Amino acid sequence: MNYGYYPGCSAKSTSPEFDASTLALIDFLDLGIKELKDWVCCGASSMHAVDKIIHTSLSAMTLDAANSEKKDIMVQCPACLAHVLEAKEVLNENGELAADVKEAVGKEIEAKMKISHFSSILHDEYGLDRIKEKVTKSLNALKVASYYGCLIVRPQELMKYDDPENPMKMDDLVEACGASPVEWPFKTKCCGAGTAISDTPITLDLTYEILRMAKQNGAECITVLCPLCHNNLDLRQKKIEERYGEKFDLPIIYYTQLIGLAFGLDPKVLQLDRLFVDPFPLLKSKGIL
Amino acid sequence: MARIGVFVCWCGSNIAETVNVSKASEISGNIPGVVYSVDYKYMCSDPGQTLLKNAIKEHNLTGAVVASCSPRMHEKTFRKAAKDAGMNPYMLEMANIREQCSWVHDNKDEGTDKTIDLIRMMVEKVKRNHPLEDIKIPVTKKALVIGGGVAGIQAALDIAAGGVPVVLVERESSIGGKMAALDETFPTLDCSQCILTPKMVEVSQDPLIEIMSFSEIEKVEGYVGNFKATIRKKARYVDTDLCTGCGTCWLKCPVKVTSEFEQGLGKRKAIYIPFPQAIPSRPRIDPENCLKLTKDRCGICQKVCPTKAINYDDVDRLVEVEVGAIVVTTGYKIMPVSEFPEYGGGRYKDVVTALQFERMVCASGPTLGELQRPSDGKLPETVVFVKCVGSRDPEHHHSYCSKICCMYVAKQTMLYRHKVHNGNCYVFYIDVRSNGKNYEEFVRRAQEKEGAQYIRGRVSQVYKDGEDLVVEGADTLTNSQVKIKCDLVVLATAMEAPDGIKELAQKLGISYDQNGFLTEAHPKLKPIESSTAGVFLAGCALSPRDIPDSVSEASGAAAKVLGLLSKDEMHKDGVVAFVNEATCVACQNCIRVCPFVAIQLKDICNRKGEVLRQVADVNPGLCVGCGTCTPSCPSRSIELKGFTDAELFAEINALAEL
Amino acid sequence: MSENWEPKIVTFVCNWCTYAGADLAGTSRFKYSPNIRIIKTPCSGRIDPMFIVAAFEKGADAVLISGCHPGDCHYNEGNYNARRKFIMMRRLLSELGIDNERVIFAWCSASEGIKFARLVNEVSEKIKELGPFDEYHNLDQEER
Repeated sequence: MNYGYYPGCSAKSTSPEFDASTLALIDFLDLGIKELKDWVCCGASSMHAVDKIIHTSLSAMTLDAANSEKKDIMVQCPACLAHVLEAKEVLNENGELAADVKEAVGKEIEAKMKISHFSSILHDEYGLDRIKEKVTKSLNALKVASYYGCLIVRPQELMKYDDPENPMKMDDLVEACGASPVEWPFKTKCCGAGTAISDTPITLDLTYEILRMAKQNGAECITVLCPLCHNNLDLRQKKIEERYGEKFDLPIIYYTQLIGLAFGLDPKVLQLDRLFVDPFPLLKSKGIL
Repeated sequence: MARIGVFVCWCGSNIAETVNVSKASEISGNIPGVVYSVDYKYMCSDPGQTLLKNAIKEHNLTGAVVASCSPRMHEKTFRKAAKDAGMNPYMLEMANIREQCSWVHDNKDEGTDKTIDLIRMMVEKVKRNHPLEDIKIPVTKKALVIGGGVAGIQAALDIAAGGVPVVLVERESSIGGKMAALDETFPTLDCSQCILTPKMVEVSQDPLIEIMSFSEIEKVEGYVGNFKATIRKKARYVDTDLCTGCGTCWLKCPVKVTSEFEQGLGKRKAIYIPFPQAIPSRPRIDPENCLKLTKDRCGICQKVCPTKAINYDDVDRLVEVEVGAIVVTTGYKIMPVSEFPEYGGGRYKDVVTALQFERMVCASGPTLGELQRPSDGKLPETVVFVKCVGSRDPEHHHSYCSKICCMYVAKQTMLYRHKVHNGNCYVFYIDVRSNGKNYEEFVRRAQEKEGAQYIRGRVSQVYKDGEDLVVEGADTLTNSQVKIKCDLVVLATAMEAPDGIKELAQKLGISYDQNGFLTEAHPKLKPIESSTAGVFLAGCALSPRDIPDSVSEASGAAAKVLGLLSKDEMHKDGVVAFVNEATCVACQNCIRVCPFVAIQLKDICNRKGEVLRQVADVNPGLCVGCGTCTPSCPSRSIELKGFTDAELFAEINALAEL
Repeated sequence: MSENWEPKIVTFVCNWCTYAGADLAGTSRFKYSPNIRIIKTPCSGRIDPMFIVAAFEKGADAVLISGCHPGDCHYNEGNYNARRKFIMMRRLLSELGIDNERVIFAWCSASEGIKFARLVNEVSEKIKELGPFDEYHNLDQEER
């Protein structure tokens, strides 16, 4: 394993708990993954719609940052992942856009490195069996709905993450930690993503359905791997409840936080206290804390 | 010494207008080897042919060149005339001076020059031609039909009606195929079993038809007219000669297994016939579930069998049959719902295939025709049909259209509404394709009179919301998203090539397409011939088809078989490849390039029978005379009769005189 | 070269597509240059690369080879074989001193009478521009 960590902007702004819990797992499992020194913002949800060259160049610079440290890239945010994978593909196809990018960045960038999502690294490379061995505090059959969001599995040809209709990696990971994954149909439904800002009611409608379906299928909490999904489900849950007059009380917990709990890490280190929907009553009632 | 005659035709003015025919004939007379040359107004007329015949006899000609129209027009005519005059027909060649000269050029001098060249080329070729004999192949007057669905049944019946014995091989323990599992059929809504089972009985009673059920093709050797097929009769554990089909065994058998025939919706026993009207009505034991065969317990069927027909020690047996022609009617399979997790396939019991729906409404089905959804037996008040599931979806599954789904979905909406008069049924479709006799009217009836609601658009997801299934999709006519709560979802999944078809195709030496469907020799003019002579195709083995198409093709294939086997021996053009065994080094290049698998290695033995070396050996029955092998030979040991190197180089060399 | 020089073009065609296409050009009375001489083989797969060399040796200025379109071969795959062979052959021919521009490979179906006529005219015009293939014909036997 020779990864450099590409946290992306969310981890450094809206979702520090994602960053903190990721680093805590890296440290605990002794994975030797360090943050890339010169990573660049991927352009997030807007730049690819505005300017293809700038958009690709941004990610190309992150590839370059990995090259200069001779590292593969470990990503947490699905948007960042999509964008660096796309940049890698563009550079390797070596067409017109690659030439433009080369000009914009001012140099030739080799794109041979491996790019993986952290959950894939844990699931496929570190291995579920080894994770099971490290569990000291079982998640005690906590009923978890794994919500992957739209980005991590689409487009399948690019992301090659998991079955695009029914991904299982997070389910497998939390199950290895003692939780009971909930079988539910909305794992990859769209949460509304950026429309939360431009047209909030659409997002509220979509996230309402997600929360309702998770609850209906018996989930006690939802685990996520995307900072934007997290925002829409966690930060806006109160608003959703108000709008529909329905109480959910479903904590939205990053998968890294859940795994950290199973490893017996300090909830403070995992920054569970930063979540808007308070997870502590649930975790206490299940005997996890 | 060659004695060649040249006959230049005027074709009235067609040739004579742009070619100086008398000059051409005169100059041709000076070509070495030409002993007679003449021009005549209409060579193809009776007097023209008589002229040719008389010249052959009078001048003792060894070869002839007729310079006239295209050989595609009259080669047969002149070769027959030559034969009548006692000359080997292959010693006559035609120079095409009409289609490829007089009709395409204006200048008479140029036309005349070119004509003389064309004649010279042909004279040089004829000098090197060898007399060839038509190939006579004896035929075995018996046919093999592979696959006992409705197409195979029809083919077998029609061949037998022509007086030719048939072996009908079926992989399952009963003939009948998919049609036996259908409820009612479009566009007449007549019961499938009512029209199929009489045909099945007819097959079983026809003295010329031998049914080999629960059997598969192991090996096929030989060629048109002379195939030898080895058939594996799989262990049935029931002696079909002793068994009377009384049914005591399957009534008493204690083991219940999910029934394949019922599409997983019903049960069968470990000793069973797949459905009550099975032909032959002899059971088989499923060795994977039989207690006696798996755990050496039970043995009840043997105890209760009144005719001692049960044999637990049964093994596969190989039998050989010699046949002159083969019809392949191996049918199709449908994609299982589990291939479509986005539609809840495999996750929700109430998402079923259309074939499962047939069993759910069929009076002989597991619920005896009482419509119940699989999960809880509830009567479905709302049903959603989804068409083009796996078909017309090149990105994920198949690019082709499964052809029959539009029709059977319309039918199934009617069957549903006939059972549930106030039920709701919705159909998601891309297009409605109903091009058959009375088909469009039938679909209209479903839509306009029988209350099916058609929504143009694709379904994105099927999920469970509480007790209900929810179908989410797009209505592209109103440009809106739709969500339908329902009790049952029927997926019209794609028809696919059946398992094992590629292996069978390889055994038969026939080709299949990228989807695994068998390939016809010509998509329009040879739609039921395979690329291998003597092997014919019919029904869904070729691609998705409905019952009338399958049956007509089967009858067509039967007619082809009867035509082929009507004579005692077949005559075939003498233009085939042959090997010079003295120089062949058995490099096998020719074997690799031959598109018809007509070349094999042959052992050359000494008197003691020891193999000295191997050479390529052409099977003239299979060779079609394309000549692809010839240029592939590094030692110039394989030649094509009628188009040898010597003959073709002679044509090229004749050009040196140009 | 003389004013009246006309190129000699040897044409190898398959029986099922291009020969029939040439017949169709005739029955449709599509006029074309009389410079070509057609040699018929059953299939383009039968055409031996040595035929091409022989044609040039005998004074051809160009060789035109035409068979069924890919996928249309009367013998299923003979034309694929021909195609593979002639792709290789082109390189070999240039080694032998035969200009690749003088070896034309085309597909022409039985329904493409007009295409055949146009093809012959195009090739004829092109070879007229290139002129006689003297640099090859003037080589003595040993140089070849």
